[in-house]
Order: sequence, then C-alpha cells, then structure tokens
Amino acid sequence: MSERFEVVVVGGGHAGLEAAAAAARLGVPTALVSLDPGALGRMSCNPAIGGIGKGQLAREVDALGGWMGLLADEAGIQFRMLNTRKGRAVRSPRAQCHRLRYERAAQRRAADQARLTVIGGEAVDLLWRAPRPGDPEAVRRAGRAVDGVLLAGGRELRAGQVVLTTGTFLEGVLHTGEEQQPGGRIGEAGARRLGDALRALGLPTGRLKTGTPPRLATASVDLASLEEQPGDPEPQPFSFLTDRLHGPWISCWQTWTTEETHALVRANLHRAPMYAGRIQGRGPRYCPSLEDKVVRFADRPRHLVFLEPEGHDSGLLYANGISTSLPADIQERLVRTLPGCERAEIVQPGYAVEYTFVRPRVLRRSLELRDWPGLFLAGQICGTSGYEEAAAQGLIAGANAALRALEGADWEPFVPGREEAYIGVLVDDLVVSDPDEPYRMFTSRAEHRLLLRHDNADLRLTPLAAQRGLVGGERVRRLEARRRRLGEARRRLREQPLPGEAGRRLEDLLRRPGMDWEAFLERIPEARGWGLSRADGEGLVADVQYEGYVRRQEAWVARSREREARRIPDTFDFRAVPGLRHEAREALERLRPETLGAAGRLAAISPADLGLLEIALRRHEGASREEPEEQGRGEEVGEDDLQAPCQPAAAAAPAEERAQNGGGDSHLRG
Amino acid sequence: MQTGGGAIYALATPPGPGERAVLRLSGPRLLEEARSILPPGFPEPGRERRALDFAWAWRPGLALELRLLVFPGPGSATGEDVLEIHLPSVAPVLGELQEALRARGLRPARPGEFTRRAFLHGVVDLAQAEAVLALVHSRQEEEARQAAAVLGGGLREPLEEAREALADALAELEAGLDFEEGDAQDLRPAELRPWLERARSALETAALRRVRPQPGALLPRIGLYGEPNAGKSTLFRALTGEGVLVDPRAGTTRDRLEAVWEPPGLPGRRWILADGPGRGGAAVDPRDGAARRRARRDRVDLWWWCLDAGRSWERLPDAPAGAPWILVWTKADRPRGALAGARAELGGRPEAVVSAHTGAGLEDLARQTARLLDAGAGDRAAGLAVGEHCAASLEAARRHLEAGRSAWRAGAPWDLVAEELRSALHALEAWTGRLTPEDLLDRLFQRFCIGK
Repeated sequence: MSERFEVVVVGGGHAGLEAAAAAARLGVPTALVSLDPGALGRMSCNPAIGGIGKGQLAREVDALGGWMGLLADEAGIQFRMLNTRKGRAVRSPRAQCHRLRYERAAQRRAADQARLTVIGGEAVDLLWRAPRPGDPEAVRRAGRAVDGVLLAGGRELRAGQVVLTTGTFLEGVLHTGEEQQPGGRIGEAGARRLGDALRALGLPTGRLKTGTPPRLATASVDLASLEEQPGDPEPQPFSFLTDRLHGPWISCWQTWTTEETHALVRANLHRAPMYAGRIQGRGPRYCPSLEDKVVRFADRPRHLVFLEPEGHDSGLLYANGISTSLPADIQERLVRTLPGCERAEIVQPGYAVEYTFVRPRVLRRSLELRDWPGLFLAGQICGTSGYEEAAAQGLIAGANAALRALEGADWEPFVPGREEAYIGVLVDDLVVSDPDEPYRMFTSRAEHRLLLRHDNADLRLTPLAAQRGLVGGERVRRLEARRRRLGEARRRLREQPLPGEAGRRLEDLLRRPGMDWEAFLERIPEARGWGLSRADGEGLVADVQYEGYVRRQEAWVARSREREARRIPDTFDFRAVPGLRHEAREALERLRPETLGAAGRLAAISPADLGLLEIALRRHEGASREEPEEQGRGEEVGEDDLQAPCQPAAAAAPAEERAQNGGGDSHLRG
Repeated sequence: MQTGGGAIYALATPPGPGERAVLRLSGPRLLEEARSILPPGFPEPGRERRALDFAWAWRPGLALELRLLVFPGPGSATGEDVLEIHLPSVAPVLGELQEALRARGLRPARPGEFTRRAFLHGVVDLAQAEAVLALVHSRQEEEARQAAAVLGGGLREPLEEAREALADALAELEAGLDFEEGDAQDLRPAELRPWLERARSALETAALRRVRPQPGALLPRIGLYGEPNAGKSTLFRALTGEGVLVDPRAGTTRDRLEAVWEPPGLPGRRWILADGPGRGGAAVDPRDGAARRRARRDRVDLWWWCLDAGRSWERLPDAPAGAPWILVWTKADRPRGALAGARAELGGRPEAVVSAHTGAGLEDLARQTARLLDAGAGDRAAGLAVGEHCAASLEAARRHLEAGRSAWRAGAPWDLVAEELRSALHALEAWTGRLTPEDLLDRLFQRFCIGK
C-alpha cells in the first residue's frame, strides 16, 4: 500500500507542525505522521511560549507565516513583556498558555489546513528511490534520494522530501529515580526503530538529556500565602495578525526552595539518575535540574520556584524551577518543603528524558542533510531545545522541503541571514557546531542584536516570506499599512518642530533618555491622531533612540555581505588550500561551512586563513568555470586568471552548483 | 572580522634616520575624500596622476619638505585610489602623521590587505596573490615572535587584565539581558563599575608600555636560492663586496651571510641580500644540513632563484617556496647551455640573465626586484608594524570603553552598554584572542546559578 505526497513530516511537535504547515502553505501535498494525532502541538514541558531570545524567535516564526504566534494568542492566559527596563532591543514577549487549549488549537488548524493530511502511525524506516538499471551513476544517485517513509504495519508514504522532527521520541528513555522505561513523553511510547535507520546512513548521533518538574494539584497549594506574579495589564499579542487578546488572565505564584529542600536532595543524590551515572546524555546548563543547583551552587541558601497554572480550570500547577528526576516518593517530600506547598499533592512527578540526536554539522543551512538530498531534520533531533527553536527550524525545513519539491533540487534555499533574524543565527550556529548540550537561543548569540527586535520581525521578514509565497495576502496588506503608518510618523518626527523649544524637532524629544511612547503622547497629544498602535509607537522610539548604533551595525553588515554571499561548493577540497594552518584545515573539513562568512566565524580560523581560503575559492571558481571549454589549460597563466577576480563571482558560484545538481535531479525526477 | 571597505595605510619603508619614509594610503574613494583624510596643510591632490612637492608646517617655524604622489584608481598598485606621502624619516613626525590618519578614520592595513585589494581589483593575478599571502602567513609567525617580544615587554599583563575585566563586565551584563530577574537572583549590575574601572586602568597601562618596532626591521630581505655552486656566492660578493669564500667545489658556503645592498640606479633603496648554503644536490659535509635548517627559519621577501646558465636545463627544477621569486640565470659571460626546455616551462614568469663578472644584467635584475618588492611593500610593513597595530587596537578599545562607561553612568539601556563593551573586546581580539558567544556563556554559567 503506497500513497504519494510531496513532503512527509515525521513528528507532530512544534517543529513538525510548523514544517507541515509551511509546506502545505506553499501548496504542496503534505503528510504529517504522528504516533498520536491527539497529541499534535503538545507542550511537553512548561506551558509557555516565548521568553528572552525565544520570544523574538516566536515573533519571527509568525512574521514568516507560521502558527506558533497565533496558537499562543489563542491559548494565552497571561502575557508579559520581559526586559522592559533593560533595553529596547532585548525586550521579549512571553505568554503563559493553557496547555490543552494550545494543542486543541493546533489540531484544529492542522485539520483545517488545505493540502495537509495528518496520519497516525510510527515511522520505522526511510524509503529510497529505486535505481534505474543500466546507468551506474543513476544507481549511485538514486541510492541517496529519499522517497518517503515506511510506517509500522507496512504502509508506505511516498515523497521526494522527508522532514524528521522526532523530538525526545527518538530512542527516548524516561527516568524517574531508579525507574526507567522507553518513551518519548510520560505515558507515550518512543520511536525506537528510526534510530537504526539513521545510523545506517552513517549519520553521527549522540545522546542528550532534558528534564521536567513535577506538576501539583492547584487545590493542594496555599496560593494566598505566596507572592503573586500578575501579567501585564495591557497584554500584547504574539502574532502580527492578532488585534486583540481575550482574557481572563491568571497570575503565577512565586515560592522558593529551603535548606530543608537542599538537605533532602543531598541525602538522596545517589538515587538521581544523572548522579548515579544512569544517564549518559548531557543536560542544559541554562535549565539546571534541582540536583544540579544544589550540587553546583552549594552556597546558595535558596532558589526561586514559579508555580505556573496550566490553564484557568486545569487544576494543575507547573513547578517551574525544580526540574528533577529523583524518585517519586522523594519528590513528594521535597515539594512539601517549599513554603505554601506543605500539603501539596503531586499529580505528575518530574522526570528526565534521554534521547538521540544527529550531530548538526551534517546539515546545510536549509536543514537538508548534506549527503542525503531530500532528507531534512528539525528540532531536538538537531541538538536544540525549546518550542521556539523547534518551530523556527520546522518552518525553515518545511519551507525548503516544499520549495525543493516545487523548484527542483537546485532550489534557492530560503534561509534568513544572521543580520536578518534570530532564525538565521540559529541555523547558522547549528550547522557548524558540535553541541554537547542542547542549543538554546540567547540574545547574546546575535552579533546584530540591536537590529533584531521582536517588534520589527514583520518588517524584517514578512517581505522575504512573501517573495517565496510563504505568507498570504492578509499579512502583506497589514505589513504595507504598517510601513506606511511608520514612514509617515517618522517623517513627522523629523520635520515637525518641538513646541516650546526653538530649533528642536519632535525627534529630539523622543531621543531623550528614559522617554517612551506613553510619555511622548502626554507631551505631544496630537500624535494620538497619527493612527499608531502602542506597538508601532514603541518601535518608533527604539528606531530613533538606537539610530546611531543601528547605523554602525548596518555598516558592519554591508562590509561583510560579500563574504556571506560567497558560497563554498560541496566539491571544494580544503586540503588543497595552500598555507592553511593545521587547526584551521581540520575545523573546515569537519564542519564544512557553506559560506566564507560562516568559515570566518569558526574559532579556529584566523584572518590570514580566511584570506587564503578566499583566494583558493576564487581559483576554484575560475577553474571550474573554464573546464568545459578549455581542456588542460596547462601552465599558461592566461588572461582568464587575471579576469577571474573581476567577475561577479558570488553569482557565478551558485549557478555553477546549480548546473551540477540540476542535471542529476532531472534524471531522478523522470 | 571586518572586511573590505574603508581606507587603510601602512608605512611602506623602513624607518631610520637619514632616510625618506613613505606612507602608503589606499581606499576606494580616497581622492574624493582627500579633504577630510589628509591633515591640514596638505595640498589638494586632485584626480590626476602626479607628484606634488610642498612645504608642510609641522611645528610653528619648522616646515618639512614633503612629496605627495597621487595614483588614481583603477590604474594604481591596489586598483583603488592610492596616495603616497614621502617625508623625512623622523620618528615623531611619522608617529604624529599616522595618529592623524587614524583620527581621520583610516586604519593600519592588516597583513595581506594591500595584496588582497590588489587581487580583488584584478591588479595582481592569483599566483602572485597566493605567493604574497603565503608570505604573510610565514610573516605572522614573525609577527607573533615580535608580538611576543612586545607583549613580553610588560604589555601582556595589562592587555589580558583589560580583556578579563571587560569579559567579566560583559558576562554580568549579558546575564542580566538574557535571563529574567527571577532567574538570577545573583545579578549585580551595580557592581559593573569596578570592572569597567579595572579595564580602563589596564588599557592605560598598556598604552604606556607600548613598544615601537625596531628600526631596520622593515628592510626587504632577498634570499639567494639554488643548488650548490649555482653561482650565488659569486653574485653576492660581486654586489656587496663582502668577502665570501668562493670555491668551485659545491657546498662551500656553509654559513649564512647577510649584507646590505644599495642597487645602482635606484637611489634610496636598501635591501638585505642573504646568501645561504645551496639547496638540493648532495651535501658534501654533514655541517650543511644544520646550516640549511638554520637558513630555513629566516624570513625572505623575495628569492633570487639562481640557475647556472652554462648548464643545460630541459626542465625547471623545484621552485623555492614561501615567497615570490625571480629566476636568475648566472654566469652569463660563459657559453650558454640548452635552456629552451626550462624557459618554456617558465611561461613568462620573471627571469633575469646576469653576469657577476661583467655586471651585465644586474640593473635589470634590480629593477625587476624593486617592482616585485613594491607589490608587497604595504603588506610587509603591515606584517611587521606590531606597534602600529597595537596602538590602533588600544585606541579603539579605549574609545568604546569610555563610551560604555559614560552610557552606564548616564543610565543608558544595558543593551547599548553591552554593545560598547563588545566593540572594545573586538578591538583587542587580535592580541588577546576572540571572545566567542560560547566563551561568554561559559563564563556566565560558571558564575551564576541561572535558569529555571
């Protein structure tokens, strides 16, 4: 039994959902395979979207037409803007979500999305295109061309593009105390057989670990005795399509660990799987388990714990801050040492999960595997953590899979640059890294952080998405209207005099330290008639106040553009570059950066190495361009050599690759 | 790493009393921007290729004779607009002029940068560019040695102290930016000030201890290369008048010899000629091996690759590596062997035919040598101008740190303060190594119990 699609996505988490949605939006028949279609879009860990760095990612996913922002707006029960006092470029939105409402909204969207078919089942193997007999080259290529997935039970889903988003399910093992059992999430089985299929391809894999805290019964906690953490009085939506959010809003609650808690942890460390040596995978430092906190920071008398409701009505609190894999009986005693939780009941104990990931250095920035055309990876399988990181990769992988189906194997990949998006930083970092802990976004990873604000994600990215057909007319219309509003307001700020201060303009007022949009409106009431939303206004303040720095970063971007655009072909042999230091050569061969710019960011590459590489690349381009016409050009140093550098070589490189790849692909598609 | 872009400069001649010094400037719009780039008192260069002699009032009542050479792009050495300032080689004048250029937005050229630009504009070909970059590479070792000397001279400590203080301050700030307040109860941004003060005083100390490069370090060095008895020493002696033991038996020269040569017909040029033991062929004495190894460590800017024109050469032997070369056919006064095969392989690359006895061909050799050395002159200087680089780095770091400090004092947003600290660290990274985002996160996680 065999069905044909253009794109098959394996996995229905945040990566899989965005991958399938992006592919279907681009108009290609798409299948999403999930072990349990009822768990599509499930928040495995904390019931929240966004946070610092992550909120920017979620906004970018939305600006590219993704679903995450819309789902968060629909399921949000508390919205907060973080970092408001620290700087406008690092402001980040965060939404506490109703866990069930979020996944229901996701499932409804998936069901409504045209050209998307959700299929329940376990993908157990990859399918490959049958070689055409008689042509050894075709056999070689066909062996590498993926053609769908095989489900347990023998059902075949055929497709030239496959996106794997296995999350914690790939050979997942759950740990609570001494107990361990296979599974991807509590109560859900894992995917065991796909791991073998990936290793059979020779892909380098590793194990990572993540953890989750216990969930408490709301009724058993004395919330009244705890410090309340309300949301923003004027919540701001995630999606550029959302005009208004609907309450009611809830509060979170703050408690803390005590000396008693720490003593209990210390006394039972031998029963914690990480410390007993039962877990090999490494966990994230930015999300330490309670065990880690107590051991590594022994001098700290207490750690904060946030009790986050999983909905208005769920009756569950997520105990953020005490991720643990101690045995369930210890967890219960431990929770009761927290103020306000003296009689707390655990509904679901915390646990650690260990899973397999593929070392991301084998990926291109499109998230296609370098050696296995048509096969894409996204999310935790690439060594990242977080819903937002997963969604961002899912969108990139799904969009590129669909574009590949539409435009052929020589498609121009859709990947924003580092200077355009956190998403660009994410994939760019990922494909030249060899993570030994899950990769999480931080604003400090983005060297052009001042350009990448959450509030300008649509201005930065929606046009790029529109160009490739990833977003519909509504987003483009809204963007155009917003651009007009902002442009007009900017003109007024520049031109209109500041009342009462001769020679000054409105802009000068906005530039004053501590000035925000509210204060500006108070002083200049007529600006209320400019038709700007609060988000528009705050964005303007940032534009004006950061102008000088933004110019500096833009100049920097302009200078490095040439290097970022210079592609390093797959066929390029780094060993043939004369003069490279050993350390540099080793790093280049292992990580194979796709552009000269990416090569320059490797820690092992010195400026002189980069210069040599650039020269060698130009020589390579010159040589491969001439080969077809001129056999054995010998020792002669011809005029071609002299002219090569004057050619727009950046444009020549992709065309060159295109010619090579395109030929092979048309053969396969026939 | 920054690339391309703005205007750069380098001292293209060795400093030293009694010489004329040449400062070479290159930039895509240098001539258009000349008004804002050149210090007061300089003439308007215009857009024509020409030489302008003028008197420049360096100090009240003290005018210096300067010459400004104008080479409009693309017909210049780099393909961009190029200006050469010829001036008396007086250290304070040179120092002040370079500082003035830096203050006007120029920066010292990085190793290989003149060549890179020349290559990108199609002025030099790939082979030349590769040769020069390979040279820059070997030169980095030398620079590293020199830098080590400079850094050893009391500079390493303050530079590293500055980096540590800046990195700690940045980690503190970034922890505040990348984590919610509830996540990190330890954040003490109030304590940023001591770190910033520490960084500032360290940079000041470094600026005081900065050492200038030794005069003479910049003289171009020409290596004589060839098989034993190829006529290297005869040539060396004929040119420099140094007494070298010349013996018709191969392998006579076991010690390295160096002498300064002032080529006839090229006033103002001074080159170091270095004669070493022959390469290739059979060593006639075990001491040869040691001498050859020693010779390999020396810097060479250009090889004179000596081949005996009296012998027959069907093929070219292995060329010297690590620097550009000129093939020098020696012993031209004797009957020629069959050279056609080798010359065909040469394919138009530079060669000269000389006789040490009659002096024939020496002027031609000198002219070709000058041309090739000039092509890499800016880079040679840049490669060695450790003091210049260091000065520019320290100045940039200091500027950003000051901006960061005053922003912090004024209560500016943290992300802008962080941006200045990042720029300051970036300016120092050539000396102290790069602080990657991962390094920063490591620092942060070591210090803070952070995250939920």
